[in-house]
Amino acid sequence: VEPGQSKPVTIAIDPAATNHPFGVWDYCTRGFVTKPGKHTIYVGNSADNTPHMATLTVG
Amino acid sequence: MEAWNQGTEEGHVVADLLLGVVNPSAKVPTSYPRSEADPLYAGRPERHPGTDEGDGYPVIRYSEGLQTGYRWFQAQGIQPLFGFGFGLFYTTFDIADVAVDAPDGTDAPIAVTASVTNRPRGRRRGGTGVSRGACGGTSPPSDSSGSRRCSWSRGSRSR
Repeated sequence: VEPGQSKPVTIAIDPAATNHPFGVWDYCTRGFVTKPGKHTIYVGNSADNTPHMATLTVG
Repeated sequence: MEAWNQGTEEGHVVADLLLGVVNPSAKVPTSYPRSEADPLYAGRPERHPGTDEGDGYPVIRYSEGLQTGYRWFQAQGIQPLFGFGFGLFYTTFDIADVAVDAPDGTDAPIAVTASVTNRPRGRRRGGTGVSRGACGGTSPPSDSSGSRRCSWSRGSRSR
């Protein structure tokens, strides 16, 4: 991004990625599961600076 | 400026950073506490360094569950000194026009788009986190699920 300029940026979140971005470990089934509900996606420069957010409903 | 694990080119690297030949781009890999009372092991020796439960050696209990790293600070509502991802640069970046495109929910990759503006120069990693707050007590407040370096520019001497 040149000084003073703007640029569109895309970050892809792959639900099938090995870090299981939407999954939690289910102890009973011994596997990762994606539970239904609202997921919030935060966008920002650090963990304590996320001025933008959007929700994603699963299930 | 703090330099860790320096190699033989340390002097050149630090000099280039201090003189602005290159823009610093590092970001801290975890949240740093503001107080000794803030870490998850404060007042909880069974979490660190462990306690003798009768067998003559210390045993560590991970009773914090999934609230590790920056998640501890978020789950407990503690403002860290430096949050995971913090870093200083010779510039600031504005993030705007954030949109999430998920036509197939979590059955296909999700695109998070934004417009990044360089004010006035440099580069910075943008980050996203995915929260599972609606899924119950076994989930951390958020995960760092993706990041992307947004490129940079510093004239002809950039590298």
